[in-house]
Amino acid sequence: MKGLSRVRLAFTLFGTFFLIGLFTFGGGFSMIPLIARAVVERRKWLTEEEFREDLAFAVPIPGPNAVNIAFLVGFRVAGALGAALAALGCVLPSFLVILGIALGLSPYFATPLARKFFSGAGAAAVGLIAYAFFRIGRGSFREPKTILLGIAALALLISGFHPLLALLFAVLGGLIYDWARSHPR
Amino acid sequence: MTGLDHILAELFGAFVRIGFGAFGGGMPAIQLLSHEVVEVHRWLSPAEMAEVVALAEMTPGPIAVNAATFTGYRVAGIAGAALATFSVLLPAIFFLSVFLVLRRFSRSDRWARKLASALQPGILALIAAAVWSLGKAVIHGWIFGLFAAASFFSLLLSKEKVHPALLILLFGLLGLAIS
Repeated sequence: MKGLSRVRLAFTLFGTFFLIGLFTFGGGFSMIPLIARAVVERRKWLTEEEFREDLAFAVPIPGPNAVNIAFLVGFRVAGALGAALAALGCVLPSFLVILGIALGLSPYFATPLARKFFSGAGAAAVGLIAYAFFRIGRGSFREPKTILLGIAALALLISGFHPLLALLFAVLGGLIYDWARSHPR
Repeated sequence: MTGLDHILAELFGAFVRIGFGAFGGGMPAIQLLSHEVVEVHRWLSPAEMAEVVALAEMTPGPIAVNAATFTGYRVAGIAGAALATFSVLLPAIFFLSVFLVLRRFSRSDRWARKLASALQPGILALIAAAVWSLGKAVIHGWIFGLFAAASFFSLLLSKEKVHPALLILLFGLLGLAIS
């Protein structure tokens, strides 16, 4: 019985992430509010903590953020099958859309209509990502360490450093910060 | 090897390499894509590549995945599209699996929780940078700024009762209506 319910869960994950993948415009971070709503708020598959942890690992691991998050969340909910189906569900909409365009099935994308739709949807995605920033950070905005390291990493990103270098810098900076705090002169 | 087998093998190799290097998305991914797809293999012309990037921005999904599907189809039809898309994700699947196996078989997952919280400030910086760079690209004029602000505050004030996908759809349609 347990095996069966796990398979059923995995297919529910597929459907959930298919819908999420359909609306992921403007980069993987815009799907954070969508995933959080689906898997934390509605279905309560993950706790807030677990979700934040999965996100933290999804970013530095090579691969598109959106797919990585789907894979890690899928694994927590329904094991390896859950991970595979969540990732497949997340990729399938973009695969089908691009294939449709390449096949010439969709005259919609040949027109400026798509550009206009995206101009509005992209603006909404900016709001979604801003909300993701607030949602992920809301527990830690008062920690001097987070603020300090976050601003330093942002400065590195803006001056053109590779995202992974900025992340590494922030992690090492955190270690040094903790060490300095535990060794007061 | 027949011609098609050879092309499929090349697609596989190129997109696995792209998948290895393309994380954080955005510029690093685009540079790597143009290197492999335009310069090394000449599967697409620079102009076509620019079109794919523009297309990827207007369609759902990660840019590396979009480019893989499009290039794969161009070079070797639907089989090529499926293979290139799978190949670009293969490194991700490999590294994610290694991480999950490590977490599963280590005596405690405390290290994972600690590392995750150590990554937090950097992740927040990346998200902030994404707000900035996408905002710069799509917010032309106050009305689009208003769309972004309205999306943010609907989620905040409704405590996520408003569906984020609905906001994408609504402001996408408004974008059609006003321009």
